[in-house]
Amino acid sequence: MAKPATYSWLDEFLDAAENALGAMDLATLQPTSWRHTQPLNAAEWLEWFDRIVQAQKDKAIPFEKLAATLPPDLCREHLFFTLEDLKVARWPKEKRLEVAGFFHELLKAQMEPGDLFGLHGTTKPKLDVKTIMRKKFHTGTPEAARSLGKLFNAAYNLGAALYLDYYMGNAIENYGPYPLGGNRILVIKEMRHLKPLELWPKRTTSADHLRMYSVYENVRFATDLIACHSFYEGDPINGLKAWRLEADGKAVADLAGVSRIMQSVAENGRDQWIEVTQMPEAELIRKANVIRCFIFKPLCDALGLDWKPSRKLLKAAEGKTLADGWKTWKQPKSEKARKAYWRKVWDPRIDFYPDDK
Amino acid sequence: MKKILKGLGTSPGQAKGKVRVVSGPKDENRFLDGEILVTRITDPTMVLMMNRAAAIVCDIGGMTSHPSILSREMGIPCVVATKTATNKLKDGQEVLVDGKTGDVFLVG
Repeated sequence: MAKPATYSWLDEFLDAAENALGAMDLATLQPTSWRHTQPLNAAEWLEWFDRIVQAQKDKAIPFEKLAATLPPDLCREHLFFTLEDLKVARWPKEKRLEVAGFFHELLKAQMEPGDLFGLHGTTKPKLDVKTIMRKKFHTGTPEAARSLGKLFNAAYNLGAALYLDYYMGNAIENYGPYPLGGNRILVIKEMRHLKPLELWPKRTTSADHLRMYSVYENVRFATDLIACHSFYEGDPINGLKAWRLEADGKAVADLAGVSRIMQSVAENGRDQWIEVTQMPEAELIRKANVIRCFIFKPLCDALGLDWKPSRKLLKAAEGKTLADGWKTWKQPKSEKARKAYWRKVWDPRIDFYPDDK
Repeated sequence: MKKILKGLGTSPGQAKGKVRVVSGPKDENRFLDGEILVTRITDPTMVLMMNRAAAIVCDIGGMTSHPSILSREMGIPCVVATKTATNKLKDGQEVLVDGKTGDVFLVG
């Protein structure tokens, strides 16, 4: 169907959000979801976040200079989360559009044009693919594909345990597919911030940042708005033709090295999850707020702001429960009405709020 | 073979193996290489078991749920949204998991 003449970037973003998150069963998110924690202090969160928006404006720092501080997936996801907050806190339309526009500009500054929000299956920041392909790669084998898959599994789980299921974009992102010619594509897996000692001092992960490069042949790869949502068509086990893994910037020499890192990352993920799930509810809510602010640390650092949550932000959620947060949403029972409800909640151009019918 | 469960196939391929119903890290030591990991929904305490599993079957979940994404990455079959896998399947049963159709068959 042809796009209407007034179809804007916001419409495209909302389509991408609906595609990626519209049918998500939040019961599978553990130990809770953003719709339980974020409404507890949406107004205070927005006040904290608006410091960033205003500092960029006041200091006139170009978005290109800030882009690396908030990678694509984080821009997309936190735009989405913040759109819900903007409605919960009933911020005026003008401010809603300003905040949404901030994320959009940051995303535009770092992405290849054409599919900013993953609606068409890609997450492609501007990268010098030719330079990457001049690096030394190992020959791909089914054994290598399985080992790398296990490492990714370990990192994904650690990411979910460090940042909670819904903020794990801070750890895991897929980039690609970058066409290489001859039915070959490059997919890059970013696994970063795996040892955030400021948040979790007990972690002993053997590497903080892993970057995996995979060259596939006759395999289709896609993501959606959420860059860790990966989809393959074809045979990614037999279709892996070349691979490279970097741990904290250094190339990993062989599969034994991959396996050693995997074990450390997996054990940290398991132990971290046990720590998270044993937290009392009040502590979990507090930690979710600290994590959310921590994600913006590089951006705050670049703007000369303190990344830590304000006392006001934390205090606003004290004495409240996850169930209190969930009560914010008055989503209808029928699927069609529910879809329309969320679309209107997300759309910053419309004065429709979570408790509207 | 008798079809015992129908769910949503979220990672293609077929795998045969013995069922191991798990609920958390306490199951890690008894989980054997090549077993079929059966659970309500996977979580990070199961990461090492997931790495040793031949396939994953869950009661709940969708295309972008934790077990689905990670099974695709590891190239093993996955079936989610079976509703009753943890009730119907018992440790030691030999099953065939079809991650494309979402069917789980009892073997023998």
